[in-house]
Amino acid sequence: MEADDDFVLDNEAAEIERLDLPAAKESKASNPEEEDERIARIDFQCSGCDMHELVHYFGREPPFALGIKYPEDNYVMRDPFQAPPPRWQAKPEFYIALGAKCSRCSKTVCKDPGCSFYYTATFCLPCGREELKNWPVEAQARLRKQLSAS
Amino acid sequence: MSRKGGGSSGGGVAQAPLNLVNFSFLDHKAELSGQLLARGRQQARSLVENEADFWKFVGKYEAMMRSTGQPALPPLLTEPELSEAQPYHRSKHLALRLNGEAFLQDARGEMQEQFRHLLLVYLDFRQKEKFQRIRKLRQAQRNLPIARFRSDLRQALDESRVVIVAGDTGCGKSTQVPQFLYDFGYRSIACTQPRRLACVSLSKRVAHELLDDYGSQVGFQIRFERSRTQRTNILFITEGLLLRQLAMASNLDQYDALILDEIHERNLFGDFLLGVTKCLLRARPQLKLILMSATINVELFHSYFREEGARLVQVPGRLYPIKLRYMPPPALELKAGQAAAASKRSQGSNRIDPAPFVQVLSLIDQQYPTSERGDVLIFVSGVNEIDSVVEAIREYARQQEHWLVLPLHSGLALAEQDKVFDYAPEGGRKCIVSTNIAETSLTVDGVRFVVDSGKVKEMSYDAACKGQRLKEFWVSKSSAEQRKGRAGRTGPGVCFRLYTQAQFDAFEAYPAPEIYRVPLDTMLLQMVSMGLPDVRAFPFIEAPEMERIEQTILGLKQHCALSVDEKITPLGSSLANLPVELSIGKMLLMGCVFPEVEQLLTLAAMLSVQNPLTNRAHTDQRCERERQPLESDQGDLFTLVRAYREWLELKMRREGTRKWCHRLGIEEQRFYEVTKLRQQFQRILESCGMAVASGSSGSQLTSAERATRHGELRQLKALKRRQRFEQPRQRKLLKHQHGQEAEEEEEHNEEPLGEDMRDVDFRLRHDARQLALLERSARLDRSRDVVLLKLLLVSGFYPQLAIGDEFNYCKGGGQQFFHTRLKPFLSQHPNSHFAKHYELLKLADSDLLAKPDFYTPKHPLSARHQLLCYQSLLETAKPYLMNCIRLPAAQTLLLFSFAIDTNAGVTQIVCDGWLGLDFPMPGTGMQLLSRAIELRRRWSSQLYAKLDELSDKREAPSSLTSPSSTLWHDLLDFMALDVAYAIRRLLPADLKRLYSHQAASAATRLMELPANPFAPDYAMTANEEKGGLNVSEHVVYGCLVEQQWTLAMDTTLRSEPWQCTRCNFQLEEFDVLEQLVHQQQQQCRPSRAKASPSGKTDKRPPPTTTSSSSSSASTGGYFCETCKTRLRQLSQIDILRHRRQCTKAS
Repeated sequence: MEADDDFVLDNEAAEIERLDLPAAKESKASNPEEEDERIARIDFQCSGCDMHELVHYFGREPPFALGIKYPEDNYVMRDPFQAPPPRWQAKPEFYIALGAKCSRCSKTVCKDPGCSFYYTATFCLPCGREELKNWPVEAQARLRKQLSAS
Repeated sequence: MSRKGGGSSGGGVAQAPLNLVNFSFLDHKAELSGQLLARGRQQARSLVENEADFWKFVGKYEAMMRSTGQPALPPLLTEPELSEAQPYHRSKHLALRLNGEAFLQDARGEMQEQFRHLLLVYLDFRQKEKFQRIRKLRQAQRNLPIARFRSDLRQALDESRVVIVAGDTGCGKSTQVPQFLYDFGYRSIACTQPRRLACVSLSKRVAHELLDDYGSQVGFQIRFERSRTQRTNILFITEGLLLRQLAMASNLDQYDALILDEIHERNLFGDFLLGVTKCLLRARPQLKLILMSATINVELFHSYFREEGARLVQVPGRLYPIKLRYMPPPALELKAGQAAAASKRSQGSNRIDPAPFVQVLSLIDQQYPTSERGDVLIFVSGVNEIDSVVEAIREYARQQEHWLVLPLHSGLALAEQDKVFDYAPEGGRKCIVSTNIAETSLTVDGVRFVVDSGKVKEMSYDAACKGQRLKEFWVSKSSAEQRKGRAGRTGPGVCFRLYTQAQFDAFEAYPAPEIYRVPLDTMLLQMVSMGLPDVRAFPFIEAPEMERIEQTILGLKQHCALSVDEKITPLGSSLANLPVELSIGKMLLMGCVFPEVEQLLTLAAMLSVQNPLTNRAHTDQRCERERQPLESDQGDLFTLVRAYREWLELKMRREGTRKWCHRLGIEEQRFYEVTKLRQQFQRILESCGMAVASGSSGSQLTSAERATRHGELRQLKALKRRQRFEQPRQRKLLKHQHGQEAEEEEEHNEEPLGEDMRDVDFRLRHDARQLALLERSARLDRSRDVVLLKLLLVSGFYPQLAIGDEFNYCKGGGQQFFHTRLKPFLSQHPNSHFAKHYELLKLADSDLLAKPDFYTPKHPLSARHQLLCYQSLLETAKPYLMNCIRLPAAQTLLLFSFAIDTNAGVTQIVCDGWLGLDFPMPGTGMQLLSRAIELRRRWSSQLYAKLDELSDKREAPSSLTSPSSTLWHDLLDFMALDVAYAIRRLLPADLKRLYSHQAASAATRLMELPANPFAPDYAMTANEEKGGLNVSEHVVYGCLVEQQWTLAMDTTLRSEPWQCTRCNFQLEEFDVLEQLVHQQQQQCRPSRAKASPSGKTDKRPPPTTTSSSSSSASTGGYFCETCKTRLRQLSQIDILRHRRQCTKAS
């Protein structure tokens, strides 16, 4: 059966890349490990909600993020909503940070307002509630608003 | 690109804080856009995905700051300051930093610094957006009814190998269950779908939900396309293809979980798969089977898999309350004037009355304000009904302008179908008029009102006459409920049923499964080829009638696909490999005997696709006119091939084909399909060694051509890539139509904007040489090609023959009737060429020949009688013959009939017990018959030689080329023989006294002969049933009762002497039997040839080619290679006899 499918799309992506970037092919062959960078393997699970995803990177400077970095370690995924760039090339906004660890209790939390709050660092909401008294009123007001909404 | 702020030196201005009261970044766009750039490997890249969107954000941000009274931009903070809690600063909420080193330029001065900060604010905002997108996606998944049953499913799978998931459309089973399985750890999941389109769209949707839109974790595999890779974990595949995988290889070892979706549809493949997987479970103890169905007759499936311990997971649908209103037409008040007008127009024809539908719309207008959103979905039975209703509603919409009408059926182009998903403008309502396609297979959201005609058109199969019938029925209760359910998917709804409660109560509970309504031959053959010893024992979920199975088996035997003991034959297994109807498969294989199959491949592909001509092709005068020059006298099929060729020529000249197709009323998609299908045929035939690889020899591109081709390929692939990563079509706002024509025009202009991806695909696959090859294969100018192709068509379609009614000669176009063996009084389809040019099927006065005195029957004598061979029988308004070709009657019958019966003098021949041929000219019947027998045996022996070669896997490169081209020429000669005969249809009364039922005295004398004069190596036996002798596989000699005229003819001839054409032997009386006996005897040795004593002249036109062994009688005689003598003035049959004699002697 395999043979009668006309245009075998399997190799299409590879073929297009080969056409776009003749040099890339060799390094790909010599370094199969590189293949892995595109597969999400890091487990991200929010402690506040049931968000559970696999991400590509944990840290501050994702290799696939163009022109940005994070002030703290983040769980970052390659942007699934954009076509991937050709290898060795960067693409704008090709990253989505899903969450970080609470700077106080180190629990993993997602970026949703129902789970975390950012002011100078990431706080899970329970820790944020504790921390809030040390903050200026503007920051307090913002967190209170968020707490009441969630 | 601006580098430095021209003139004004940055430093001075920078120190002052920016105030948005008198400043806007937007005024410095040119200068600032450079600040968005990061260094790239090859070129600088912007940090934002969409710069226009960014600048829009800047504008909004500035406006917001101004309106909230914070126009002065606060000074920026340093990194240490950002981590201090005090004092408050907005930017302390930003969880993102710019990577200064990455930028192409440094930010200098306050404006650039602040701009960079704004960029960061934007990127942070976008991050939040994207994050929410993922969350929303997950939320939507969690909210699906099926989500709550995830653990139930897991448990069921742990406990049992078979799980049935029953849930209504919209519960999310098709998208979620495969993902659940993936989560449970299954890594090779196949999910079948009845429709190709569903495979593609589901694979896209599931990939999206797995955040793998651009990866290949989820793939699909459909007839001409697949997107499956080694990394694919979830595969959506059509039922047919999965069955084929089963037939080709093993027990589907590549999958660890199998999901059969939509099994409630009960289509043929679905039912077949159920039975096959039931068997498969025994062979594959590890395999998990999940059956998914709507909540229709779930108990049937559950009990079918009871012994396997099937677990049932029932998922309640998500349905809002629906108000039900029975409104049989008379109950509707005639209110709207337009409706009355509409109903008047449709009177007198048997088209449906659209008035009730319009009245429901007007009722909706009266009772529901347009401020309440909600669309209408109308169910009618077929395309014609859709057209009438759409027309009437358009009329109504001229007054009530908020209505937008959209037809929906499977015959529409995909882009047209997509329109039903678009939004109606505020205050407008869309009204979709659909066939039952919208019942389960296609879900349109936003429907609040359903109008159900209660009718459905279904194809039924009449096994008795092997015809299909498209008939209107009342729907089943379950269909009616499905239709109703469509109104309650997005909110409470109303369902108007245009029939009474009592009528509903009388409906069948479920629709009849397809297995009761279609031919079974392909399925049964597949079963046997999969190794099922007895198809009768197959565990059908609901078995078809035993008698139909028996009939089908008989048919397969007649086609030699099964042997007498119901084992698969080499022909049968080759047929099972071809993914086409058996008849088309058979003609492909029969054609492989001949040196050239190119044209046959094209023709067979054309036969296998849906009719490329659209409805408009026959209703629009302009289309008719445009197609006029392409019309072929040989029938519609040949016209289509001509059109296809013209299309290929346009492609060769790199001209656009889309407009051309539209002008002629051709659905271009079909021509692309023909091309792909043809290629598939070629590949299959080549891979099994039936056909020689084409184009491999000597058609290499030159280096210059290769270079051009290379460039072209690059370009095409780039286009393809762009398309692949394109966002899926978004729902659009519908525009109001003002007149149908205007809309069509607009569409037509709109189309060419996008690159035609089908064309790109086509060009990717075909270089100039391949295109030229294709074009050549669509050339059918030479009459000898046409004749051979027609013979091949008949070889596949036999016994689908029809004969004209004897009174057609005196009737007009509308009253031309045709009869098949099983069904009398059929018509040509009104759109067909032969319906318009029916004179092509009649005998011209000049074709009529004088009858000898003894021939008393009234039937006309001619050498030009024709038969029709049809592809299918279809009954709609009337029973129609579809896709006919015309052929010389006697020759065709003698070559293909399953049972040929003759009288002793071979002046009378009956084919398959329904057509009688009378040959009142001495010797002609004998001549035709013996040649037919010889050709037939040669053809089948060559076919079997080829098939045996394959099964033996011997490396025998086709050395058959020369005999096969001889066969070809001999067949052409045979078809062109000019023999006068009469043809008549036998009626049941005739059949009663047709056979002698006893061994004729003549027959006993034949038995005494040393060899069978008809077929040398065939052992003659007495035929117990009809009488006479079996003299070849298909011929019974001497079993017909003599007629008055045959006796008279014998008497007349007996008074004349007969001289053997090969020796000096003379008979005193003309006696066919004696002649046969004589020719078997040793004393009949070839000598100087004598003129044929019967005085008949061979009026055969000179053959188109001269081959070494079969030369014609009209040119310098025949030179026999074996005995090195030149024989002059021999008829073809004499030569034949001579040849047989010679080869026997040598």
